[in-house]
Amino acid sequence: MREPVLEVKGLETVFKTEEGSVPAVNGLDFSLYEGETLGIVGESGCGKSVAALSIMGLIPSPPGRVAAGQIMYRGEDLLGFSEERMRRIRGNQISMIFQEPMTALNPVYTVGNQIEETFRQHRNMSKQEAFQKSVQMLELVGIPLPEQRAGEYPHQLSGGMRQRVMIAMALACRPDVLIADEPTTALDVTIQAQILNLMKDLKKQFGTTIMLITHDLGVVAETAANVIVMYAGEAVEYAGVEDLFNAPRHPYTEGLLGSIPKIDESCEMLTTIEGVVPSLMDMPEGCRFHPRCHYKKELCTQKAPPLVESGASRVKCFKYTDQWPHRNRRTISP
Amino acid sequence: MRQYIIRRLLQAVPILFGITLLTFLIMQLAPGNPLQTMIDPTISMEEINMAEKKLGMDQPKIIQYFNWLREILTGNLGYSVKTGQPVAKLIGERLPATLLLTMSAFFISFIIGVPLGVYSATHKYSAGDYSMTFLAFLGISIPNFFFGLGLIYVFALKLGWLPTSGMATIGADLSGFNGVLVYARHLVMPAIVLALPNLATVMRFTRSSMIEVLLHDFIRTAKAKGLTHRRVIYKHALRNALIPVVTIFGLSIPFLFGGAYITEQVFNWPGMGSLGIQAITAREYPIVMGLNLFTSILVLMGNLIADISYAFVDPRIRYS
Repeated sequence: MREPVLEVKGLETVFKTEEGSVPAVNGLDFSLYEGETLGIVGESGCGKSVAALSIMGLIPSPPGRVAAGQIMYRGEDLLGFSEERMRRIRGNQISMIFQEPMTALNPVYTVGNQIEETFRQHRNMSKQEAFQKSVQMLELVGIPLPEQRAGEYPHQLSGGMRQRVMIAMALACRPDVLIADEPTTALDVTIQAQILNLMKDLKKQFGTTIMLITHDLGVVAETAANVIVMYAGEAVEYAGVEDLFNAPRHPYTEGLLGSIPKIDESCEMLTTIEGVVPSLMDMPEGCRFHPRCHYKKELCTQKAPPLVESGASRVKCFKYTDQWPHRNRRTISP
Repeated sequence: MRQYIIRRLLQAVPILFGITLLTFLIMQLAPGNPLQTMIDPTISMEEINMAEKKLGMDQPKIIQYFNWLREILTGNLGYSVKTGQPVAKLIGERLPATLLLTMSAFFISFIIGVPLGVYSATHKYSAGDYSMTFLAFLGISIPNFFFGLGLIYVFALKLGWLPTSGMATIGADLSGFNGVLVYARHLVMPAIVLALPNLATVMRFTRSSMIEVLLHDFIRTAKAKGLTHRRVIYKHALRNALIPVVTIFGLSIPFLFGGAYITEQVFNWPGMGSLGIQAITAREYPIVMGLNLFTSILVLMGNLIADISYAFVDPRIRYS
């Protein structure tokens, strides 16, 4: 059994608002194993990014705060680290790339300077050495004329180039774990594919463990081995990528897959999941998905479903428990 | 970058002509005729007409303007009505004192204002931030002359630490370090009085600009890179936050020259401001005009420097 690099246990991140504190992530558990790519999928506002920022220790505080749980990194709880110790981990052992390459780079410094900084901060390199390393990184992420590009400012580069710069920056110190928060969302489809391929290549080269956050199931299918589906601050399904697409367990996952238009079928209207993600202020009782669920039973409105195993997947749904009314149970006994 | 500076310099030329035209028009609109204050009232109309002809005042206004412009371009700003001294020389005598005062105030307001603004922004809504906000509004609201008199009362009269007025003590040894000390002791209060409202503005501007910049994605990126708090604030945030503050660079120059008129009066500072007030009360139009023109040129230069600083801090301006 491989050891997990990163293990998140019962993570609860809350934000203080005028109407009281609301949990954006509520009891999230998952493990990230050495060298794997874990996809985290869910709609906007389901807590994916908040989970990532919690791991990085970058939850804006106030109003945010990690209220409970553990984030074990190689056997130590990151939540117990001092700010200084956490800072030395960020960008060094655990690094992150963000959705908007347009705004995630500082407009007043050259891209070379922004990569150099990482080396100078964590590796204590001289300016010259850091510059050479940065040029190497730019070359590695497939930027032509890296030496010249290093002296350019972000506004002189295209969106795809900027995201490559972000990747170069994040991978500069050869981190153990790379958290990619919607790395391709802001890019053109063709550029998306290039960036995903680049990430796959680099992962093979460095053996980086990747936590890939996305709302795009296509991206997950292409890159991840294991997937977590998040809904309203919780993980509702853990599955291998094949299982997820072939045999989705949670009704929400089913809905997500159902809403992807198929290339071999014509349809007038896209299938959607009825309703919207509930507001964090006003979470429904019981299963958080029940107001939008086709399989809803009375049981679902009363208490939260437990996490149960179903095949190789784990799912938070009463359908897969003994409490579900028998005729609807999916598991067929021989 | 060089192209940008050349372009801005060329743009300054028509503005400069506009300034000369406005200055001339203001003078023409002012009631009275400079000759009337120069000549004995018992003198006959004929003699006045002769004098007007001699001075070129009988010619059409437009010709007069170009005559004046020609003289200005050769460096002649005209003569004092009362003493006949060249205006350029009068301004030249007063300029160093005013420059010393305004530049000191300029540096005080930015060197103190920017760090205080950064502190306020990074300690948003703390007791320190609130006290700073309170002091800033006090600084903007207190009139120059009142604050100046208050300082004189406390530090010159009651405590006796600083001289009440003037630029140097009469009969003091002004050579070497001792001279610097004498000037500095005289400069402290007027410079602080002149700087205060500007300092408060700079501080408030830096604060709000900094708070806005701290919400940007690239600040999160800088943190995610594991940079120290100091580098995130002073390297990544401050440089961006200073872009709007540079506007105040340009704006504060006319503000400081204007404020100098009153401050110089309160502290009896021998600068252009007190010359200006004397000239206005004595109807010395050539001096007032010369001062107007000269101050406008300084303001124009200040704005030019601000524009160039923009390009210096923001590469997006430099490269487009």
